[in-house]
Amino acid sequence: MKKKFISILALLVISVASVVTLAGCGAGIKVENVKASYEAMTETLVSYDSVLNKGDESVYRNTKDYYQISYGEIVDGYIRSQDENYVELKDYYNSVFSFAMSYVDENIQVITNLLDDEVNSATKKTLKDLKDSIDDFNESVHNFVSARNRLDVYYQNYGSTASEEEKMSRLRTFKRDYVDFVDKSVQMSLSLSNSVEATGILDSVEHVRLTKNYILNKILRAYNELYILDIGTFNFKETTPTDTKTRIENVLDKLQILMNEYSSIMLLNDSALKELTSEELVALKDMMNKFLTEIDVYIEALDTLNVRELCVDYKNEMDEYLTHNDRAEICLERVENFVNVSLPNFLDYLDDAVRV
Amino acid sequence: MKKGIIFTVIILIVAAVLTVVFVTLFKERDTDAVANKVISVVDEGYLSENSDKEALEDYLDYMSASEQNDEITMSKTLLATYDKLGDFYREHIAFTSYNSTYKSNKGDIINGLDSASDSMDEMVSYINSHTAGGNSSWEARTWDDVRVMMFEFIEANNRAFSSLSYVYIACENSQIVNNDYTSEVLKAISEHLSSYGSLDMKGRLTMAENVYRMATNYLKTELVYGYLYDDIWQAQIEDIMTNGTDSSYYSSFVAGTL
Repeated sequence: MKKKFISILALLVISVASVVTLAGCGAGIKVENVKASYEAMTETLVSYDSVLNKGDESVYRNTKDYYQISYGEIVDGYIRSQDENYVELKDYYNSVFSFAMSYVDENIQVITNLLDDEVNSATKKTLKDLKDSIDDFNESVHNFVSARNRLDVYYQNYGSTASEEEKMSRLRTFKRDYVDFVDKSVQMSLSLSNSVEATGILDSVEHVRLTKNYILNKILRAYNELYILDIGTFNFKETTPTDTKTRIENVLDKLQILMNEYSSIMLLNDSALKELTSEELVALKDMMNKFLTEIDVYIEALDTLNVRELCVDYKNEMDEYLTHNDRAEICLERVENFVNVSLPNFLDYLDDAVRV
Repeated sequence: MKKGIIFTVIILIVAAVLTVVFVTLFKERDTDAVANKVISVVDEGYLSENSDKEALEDYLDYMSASEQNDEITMSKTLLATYDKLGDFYREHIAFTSYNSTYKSNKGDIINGLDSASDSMDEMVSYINSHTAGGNSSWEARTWDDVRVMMFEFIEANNRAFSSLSYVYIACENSQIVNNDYTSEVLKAISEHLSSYGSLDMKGRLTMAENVYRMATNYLKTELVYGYLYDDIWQAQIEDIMTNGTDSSYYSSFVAGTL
């Protein structure tokens, strides 16, 4: 009786441990599965090429318009005329999406070219997450295109008669779907960068370009988090004007300016990249790791701050918000410091480190 | 009998597993307690611009012309130093990670800040109940009493801020901020603060001024963030870290003029 009980207990423990271990290691996911997901995602994008028009690959390294998104004739017209309500769709949403996608397209081969026998255990652990994030993105493409089509149809039918308020309301609805779409693309690129790092390829001085792009891709979170995920989900422009709102506006303006600097490093072609010594590569990666930790702190500060709550529920009144969230002020200071000091300093450092 | 033993063993195993689960679930893992304490002391407590602090500053201003000028000036300098240090920690400590240094210093930090707050209350209450003023015997008598409370205030703050610097230096959460530069500055400040050891505050003005200069000159946000990209500054700090007091930069460093 005792032996039976112990055997059953041992069996149970071994089964649970096996399930947990296998799940943790991402066992069962092979490079082939990732490749299939990527191909399915590419097919989806191609099927919507009238909306998501991929730029010429021989040209895209010299332009941030890697993926040209067509928003429909009327909205595209607003963007061309630099209407401030629409221009950020291209300047910001489209840019972040393009950077995420160009990273994926340029680096996916690092993973898909691996043979399953060659995949190290660190990489193996990342494959499930990578496959899932590609599948998630693939799904979000359909939602985005539907949202874009609804917007286009609305503008065609009611664009000339609808009030400005109605149009803005419709635009905000579209932006909410856009936020999800861009975020999924960023998550996919981040998953890929984790897989790329796990292969160990970034330890080689021959792959300066991969290292540079890896760093920039990690920085993409800093742009995505505040400007798109936080601000993109409500009508920030129409919230109550206060000193706190001005501070947040200044942070957003600075982020937009830094996007240009980010772009110029991202778009460096091979001939403009330095050949690094192994010591320089180690120094660069050391600095990168420190900066990535700083991004984590910035994201943590943004999460604790909860911009939406501050702007919408507390009408941008910091003093009142502090009674609800006593860390709000220091979190906003941390966000300001990151955007005004850390991020530009690091981008300058990176530019000096990799540009000839 | 056997069944009873098996049952007891199972119960013991379940109890042990549940204990481990609960201990893990409720184990302190963040630095919230200290972060909230620093925030409340700086934003709402004795370091904020409230009437208590103003009453003490008014008293020290009034007493500046007295015979105990050095002691009064030192007290004012340290009060200003705590402001600067408090602001620095308020901004940074909320983002530090939980570690063993935090665990061993948490009590000192919270008790130190609480004791300093109590000493401030006591001083203000004493000053408000001895408002006659205007003659040397009043000045001498009140300062005799206030300086004891002031010493307790300084001692409690030193304890808290020294422990805060250990926690900050040990944190891993924000390496770019917790770099060699801030660690060395805070270590020097902490060493200076901990060297206050007696009620004889005379002769310690230079030390207090150095602490004040270091806090104000070195803990400016733009310098803290900029250090990582400044080769000259990095070389100087490395020299100080390697050679200590023998470094040619050391004296200007502790004087707050590097």
